[in-house]
Amino acid sequence: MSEDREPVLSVRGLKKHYPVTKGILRREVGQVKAVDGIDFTLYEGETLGLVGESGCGKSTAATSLLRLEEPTAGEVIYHGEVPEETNRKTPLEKLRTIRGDDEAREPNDVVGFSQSQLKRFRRKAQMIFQNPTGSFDPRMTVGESVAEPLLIHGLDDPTERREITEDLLERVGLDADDYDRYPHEFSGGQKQRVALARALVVNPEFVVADEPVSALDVSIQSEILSLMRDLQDRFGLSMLFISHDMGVIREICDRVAVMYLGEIVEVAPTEELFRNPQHPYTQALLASIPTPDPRQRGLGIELTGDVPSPDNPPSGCRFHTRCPKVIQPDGLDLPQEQFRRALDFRHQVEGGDVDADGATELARARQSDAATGDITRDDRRRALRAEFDLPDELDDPAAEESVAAAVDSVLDDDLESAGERLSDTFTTVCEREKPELERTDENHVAACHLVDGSETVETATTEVADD
Amino acid sequence: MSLLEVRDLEVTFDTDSGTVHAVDGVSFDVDRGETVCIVGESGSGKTVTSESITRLVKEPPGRVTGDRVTFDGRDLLQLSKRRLRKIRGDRIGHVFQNPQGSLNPVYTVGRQVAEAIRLHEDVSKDKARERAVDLLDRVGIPKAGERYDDYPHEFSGGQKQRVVVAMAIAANPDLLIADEPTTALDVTIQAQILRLLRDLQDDLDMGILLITHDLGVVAEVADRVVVMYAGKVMESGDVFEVFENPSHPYTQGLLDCLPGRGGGSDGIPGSLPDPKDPPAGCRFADRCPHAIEDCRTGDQPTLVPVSGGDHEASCLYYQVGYDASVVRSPADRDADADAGDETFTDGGLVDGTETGSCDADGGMRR
Repeated sequence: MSEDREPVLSVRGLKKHYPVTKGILRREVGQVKAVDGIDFTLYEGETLGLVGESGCGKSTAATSLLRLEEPTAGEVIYHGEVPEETNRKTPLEKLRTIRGDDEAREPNDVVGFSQSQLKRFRRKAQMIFQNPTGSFDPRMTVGESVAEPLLIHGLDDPTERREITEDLLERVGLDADDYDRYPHEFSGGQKQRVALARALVVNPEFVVADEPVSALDVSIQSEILSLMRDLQDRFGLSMLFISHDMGVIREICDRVAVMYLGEIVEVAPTEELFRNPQHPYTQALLASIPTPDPRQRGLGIELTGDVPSPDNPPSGCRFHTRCPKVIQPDGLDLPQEQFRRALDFRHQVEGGDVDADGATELARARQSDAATGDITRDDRRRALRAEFDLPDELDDPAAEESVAAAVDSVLDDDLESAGERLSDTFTTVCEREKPELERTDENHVAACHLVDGSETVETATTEVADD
Repeated sequence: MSLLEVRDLEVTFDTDSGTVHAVDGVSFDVDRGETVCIVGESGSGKTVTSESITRLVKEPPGRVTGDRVTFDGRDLLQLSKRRLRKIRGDRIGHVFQNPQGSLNPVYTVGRQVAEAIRLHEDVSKDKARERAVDLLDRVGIPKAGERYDDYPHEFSGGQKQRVVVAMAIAANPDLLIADEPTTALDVTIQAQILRLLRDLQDDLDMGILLITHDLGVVAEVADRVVVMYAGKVMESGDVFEVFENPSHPYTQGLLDCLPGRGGGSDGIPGSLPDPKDPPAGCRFADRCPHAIEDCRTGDQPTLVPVSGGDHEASCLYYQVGYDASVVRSPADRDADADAGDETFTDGGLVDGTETGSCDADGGMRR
């Protein structure tokens, strides 16, 4: 489907790192890698969904590709013109050129745009935010708010501005008379309609919508979604639609990109993704959506733990610390659940999160009812295993030996040898090697060692470097 | 007798521009070991209902009246403030939507949990600390002993909600009222919290009253459902009955507009009626695809049994003399979904759907 469509925006290797500073000199002690090298292409007239848990960097991706925040690295190629290179540069840009650290960029790379180019670019690219209340000035009438972009982009005639605005308010299902009302007089859904009108008033080519319906009731949600679909058809818009809600994504998107910890792990057409998810993270996301059918209870695959911190992302596949399908090494033959738990145990030991005292505490908590008698070494051993849901005897003798030895080392407060012992046995390719994006279908790519694609692709885009 | 029996509960708020009827004659029961979900749009009065059970509603401007709210044989509406305080937290635990707002940022998490324990039990500081660590461990905070001295900002959203749950169950309550406990969380974390609530319920044999707007969550955890709209109960009954045989047009509309079902529904056109001056007849009549003239006169129709068990709906069509098949058949529903094409009929104002919004607005204009 993407073959005959023109790309509007190609994002390549986009990164946004935030420095972590410390002390009065604001020494940089680390970096939060909010977005860490993502690629995707947005085609004309399509809606591309960007989905992931909170903290995975989806909003940062949106703001840095519009340069509301300066990206750290990468290219954002805009295919709908703008360039017309001007020589006017801000002092900062001049300084950069003099210092020579401004790498050579494509002329139509948004990251390299000058301020005046950026202003023209933003006529083509608009954004809608999650919180409709926070995105309006309470002292401006909604008409003024909607008309403001027109003024900024040089439409000086007030009557014409008003005419365009009133027309647009009607198109989003409001009344022309609403021009003179204030934001507080509108409900959340109506405010989101006004936000849509404001985004469309400059006749943009694409719109970035950051969780536009998350703050709304379900009954209002579907109203707004159907309005967005409608307007998209009428204005021929392309849309980057950011959401954490798989249901909403399914409703409105043509293609979906799944993000985890600053990286895109899977891209596929919507129905294909829902029918045939390849990446275990996508599968887990889909499984945790509560279905509105009380006969289908049980929340599917459980993801243990929270998203790891992006300032020190896990090596290899970033999902391996939570992945229920993490790959076992050749020598091991454990039920998948036991392997997962053994790995959790290993990570905790390596992180210094368990120790002998902790085991004693656990053992005491477990026998708190009886509350008498001393706690034997055996009690502590059992408590420790129970804490990680490890059975008393693992199904693989080699694994069992290793876990038993590690538990004993932990009880002797010798975490180092416990960690060594475990990391010798419980290794996984997911931790050592970063999976490449594999193509499984014409438009379907996923980055997982389990996925056996027809070819390995450099980027998640279908058109590969044609310029 | 049920653990909690709410009969004909009414809550009103006096505002400068009139009296808001937030809850208007709501009745339901919660039993031990049972999960009852109250579901509805924002502004339907579900939160006020849950808060008025333990009289957390500020009085004045609020006023909680009603036939009775019996908890374990005692009428909470008649109790003195001191007695109520003993019941809150001790016998009835509360979990609110926003875990951030439920925790004090300047105290350590452990201290706050220990405080919840010492409020209801006369125990030493050390003993309270021990109990607090146990509780944190029980709600699934890893390394509870070490995290005891951490501050709320050092916890993730899901963990904060776990801490709030720990505080709510500190005194082994008989009833847990959870107001949108997972709305601020990601789906993967939401699944973890729902599972936690279910496990705790099994352990403690608690009754749970869960307030939510998400029918997916309802389907996942509820035993019984109460559907509220504009302060009235529209439909209630066993979760299987309500989902498989939704009888009130409002419930049908809510189920239809769940995203991701491929239906491409246009939602329920219109918005909630003015709570200061509710319309005559059925409150939902203005947005109902089946509404007839009779729906707009008299009072809200009484709840009548519509199918097996205690499944009831408040819709005129189920009363004697009307043709119930109009609203009952799903085929009809689909046909009508197409007819309701004018999505944009809600151009009107929303006048103070939330109480006190007038004051806030006045302030903004100035």
